[in-house]
Amino acid sequence: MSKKGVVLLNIEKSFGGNKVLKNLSLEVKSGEFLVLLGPSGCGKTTTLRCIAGLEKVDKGKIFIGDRDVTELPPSKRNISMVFQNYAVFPHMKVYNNIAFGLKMRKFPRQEIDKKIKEVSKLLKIDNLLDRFPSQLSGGQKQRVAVARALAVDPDVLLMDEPLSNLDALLRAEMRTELKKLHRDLGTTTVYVTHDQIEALSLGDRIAVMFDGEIVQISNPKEIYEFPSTIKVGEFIGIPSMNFLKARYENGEIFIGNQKFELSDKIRNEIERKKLKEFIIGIRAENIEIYANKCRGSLCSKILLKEELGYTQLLTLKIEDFTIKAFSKAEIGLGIDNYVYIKFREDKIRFFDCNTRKLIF
Amino acid sequence: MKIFKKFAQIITFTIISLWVLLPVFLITVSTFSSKQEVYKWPKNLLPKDFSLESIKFFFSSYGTISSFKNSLIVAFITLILVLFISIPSAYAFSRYYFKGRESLKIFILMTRMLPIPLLAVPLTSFYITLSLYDNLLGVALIHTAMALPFSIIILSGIFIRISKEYEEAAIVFGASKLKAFLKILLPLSLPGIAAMLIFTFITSWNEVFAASILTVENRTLSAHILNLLDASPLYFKYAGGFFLSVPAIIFIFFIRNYLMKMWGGF
Amino acid sequence: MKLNEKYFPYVLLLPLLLYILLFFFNPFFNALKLAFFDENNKFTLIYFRELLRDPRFFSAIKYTLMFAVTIVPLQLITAFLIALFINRNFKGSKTLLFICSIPLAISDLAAGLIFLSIFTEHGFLNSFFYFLGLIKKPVYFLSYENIPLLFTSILIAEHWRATAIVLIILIAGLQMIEKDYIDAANVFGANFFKRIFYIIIPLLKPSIQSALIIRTLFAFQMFAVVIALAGDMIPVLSGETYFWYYIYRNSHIASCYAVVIIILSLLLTAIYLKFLTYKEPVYENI
Ligand SMILES: Nc1ncnc2c1ncn2[C@@H]1O[C@H](COP(=O)(O)OP(=O)(O)O)[C@@H](O)[C@H]1O
Ligand SMILES: [Mg+2]
Repeated sequence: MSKKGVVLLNIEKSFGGNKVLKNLSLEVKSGEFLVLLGPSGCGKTTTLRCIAGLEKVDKGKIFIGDRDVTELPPSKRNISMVFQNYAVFPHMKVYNNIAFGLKMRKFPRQEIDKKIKEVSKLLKIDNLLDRFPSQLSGGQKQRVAVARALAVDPDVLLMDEPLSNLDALLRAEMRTELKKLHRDLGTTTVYVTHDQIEALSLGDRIAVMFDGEIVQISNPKEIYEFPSTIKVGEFIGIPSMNFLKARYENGEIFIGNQKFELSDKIRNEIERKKLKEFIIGIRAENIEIYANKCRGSLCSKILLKEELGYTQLLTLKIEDFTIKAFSKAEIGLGIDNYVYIKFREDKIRFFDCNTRKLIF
Repeated sequence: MKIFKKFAQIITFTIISLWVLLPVFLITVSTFSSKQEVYKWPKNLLPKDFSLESIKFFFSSYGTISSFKNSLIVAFITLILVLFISIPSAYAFSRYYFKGRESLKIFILMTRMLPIPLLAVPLTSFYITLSLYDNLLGVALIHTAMALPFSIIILSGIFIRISKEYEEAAIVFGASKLKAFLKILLPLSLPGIAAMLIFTFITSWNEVFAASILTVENRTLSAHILNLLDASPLYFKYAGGFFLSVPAIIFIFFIRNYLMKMWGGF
Repeated sequence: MKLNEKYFPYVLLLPLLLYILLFFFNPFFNALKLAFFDENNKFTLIYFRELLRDPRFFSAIKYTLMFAVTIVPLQLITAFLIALFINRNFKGSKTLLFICSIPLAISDLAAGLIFLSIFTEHGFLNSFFYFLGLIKKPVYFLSYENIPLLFTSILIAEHWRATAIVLIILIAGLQMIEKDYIDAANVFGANFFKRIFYIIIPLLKPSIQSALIIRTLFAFQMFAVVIALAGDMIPVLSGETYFWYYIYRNSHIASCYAVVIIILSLLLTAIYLKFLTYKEPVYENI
């Protein structure tokens, strides 16, 4: 199984006057499953199409392995792709769809046959080879598209929101399967999605993209716990990370008028970095909720209670800020009552007010 | 109330169908009548005898058979020319954005609005210098000009409806642009292309003005019949009308499901 | 490489552009030349003066215009009514649509001959009237002694032949109107006629406009129907062009007629465009 990395160096791409990719650089390690995650319209598809060679870049270089492919047509790049709408050729049977890439590469007939048996087994579509795409369900078409992409032993596999057209149940099932496939085959994969759950569960690493730029690239846990900017923290995780403005005065931290007690270690860090005003980020599951006031707790009002079955999601108002928190146990207090909350200290993140970037 | 509605529907259906079909039926009856029957007065409303006399006369008149053949040849050349010009043009219109695309599209539609007399009369002298006058190729050339605007617009519409993703998939999997076109777009748009070609055939088959002006000896069927209108008996005219219509009606049957799609763009 | 890509669509269009040059521009300018320049390539109006001296010229203009202003509205109305009917999507509406589109395949010459079998004195209409007891002797529908009757016969034949295209354009337009609008109108209590006048016709305007322009332009080129049914008894512009070239071999006068046709066509299109603002159909982006 071939494995090659991909490197994008200072890529720029415009459509008309609209600059879609702005000096984008990205390294995909060989054998890695990299997820390109970002809101719709941020340029993910364009990035993928540049790697595939379907779009010519205006500036920058693209390497696959150690080959400079910037000027090569798609057919010379040995990549393959799973399209958002599958693009399974409607006039060819499943067999011929999967065989297409191999035929273009002029493989001998027996080898094509062997290869098709192999991948169709792998994707559990070996009983569908004789059908036309119109006789397949969405999930089956999806499998054909993946099989077709894998059959050619690509150096890099590109997938553009491959699960977005499936219903929720199938999507979860296919997600697991794709993960397993990658574990077994180890094909270098670039996977585009706007769905963070997909990204978190599939990616070895995630590249978060906003507005034609990659703002953070790291493993899922790191991205979740240490979002590099406030925007990333807002975009990733359900619910979004909570953000509260805080200030450091006379050796104490305040949120609004409430004093916020933190350990010396953090206070020293703030002191050392000479922070005056900053933004605190904390995730909903890292907030502890108490019915009574206790040491170091902040007072907040319940605005909304949502029952999620395994837990409750509370919307709370603390000073001028609205935050969301999970309450593990039923607290027995209703809307408009006051609760006391504490943040898990090791999970608190500090962001710069102006640059909105992570400080520590 | 419901029954009344249903009844009204059936009546309307019948009236409209009769209005369209009756003339076709009547020319068929006339064509299969004997010479005397054609001139008889009053006629039997339902035909009594069935005779091939008119048809025999029609086909045995000087020039009919060869004009029939000429019409087919002209239509065939037209199809080939239209195919080779409209496919690349429609591909360009549907797959590329380029400067002047929309204006060119509108311009092409406008060319179709040029009156045929305006094209045909001046072409005669042009054709004489090229020795295309009284030449089937010459007729096919102007029929192509007449058919091109619609066939390009129709074909662009067909291509646009086929997702670009298919060709891109082919290209990603190692096909060249030409191969992607031949293996993906062409087979996928084949029914549409066939419909377009049939429409082109009908256009050429039916055209009479240019064909009459640009030929003397090598007449198409339409031109042949028009030329003989003054001098021919009724039964010749009826058979002429019938045989002009039949191939076109048969062909339009095959593209009945495409008519909407072809004209949807207007 | 990049340059190539940029010019590739133009390369694809090259045959078409060449064709336009040879078979549209070339004859177009040649027609102007034939109409306005004499053998020595000098500008002249003698051909037009000759044209104006020809009494048939004014009749041709008169009848051509008369055909255009009678046939086109008639066709629009019938096609609109049939389109509304077919658009009800009852069982058999597809069949009816196909039946109605049959004349689309029939040429003007053939349509003329088909209706000749109906209108001639030995034709079916006379026999039919006889059997109804309305007449004792055949009526001469196609005679110069009764031009209005002759005109009407041609009108009927042309209406029969060319309504199909209007119908198809209108139905295509109707199908693009979202049913939601009509449902909404229904919910708000619009009756049948209100729905037609306040919802359907305004939304159908682009289609009506296309049909109107296409049909009017082709009405100016009416030719073989007229000749098949009336010979030269009713002069029309295209017919005169044909006669001048075909019989008198005078390509100058014939070109003058052709130029008059295009001038009238442009004039009428301009009027339509002025009074009915026309939006180009938006083609899907690629
Ligand atoms: N072929 C194109 N022509 C013009 N603009 C385009 C084209 N493709 C993409 N864009 C624009 O580029 C931006 C990014 O698009 P895309 O890469 O498809 O985003 P994503 O896949 O992240 O949703 C969008 O604003 C889109 O409108
Ligand atoms: Mg996308």
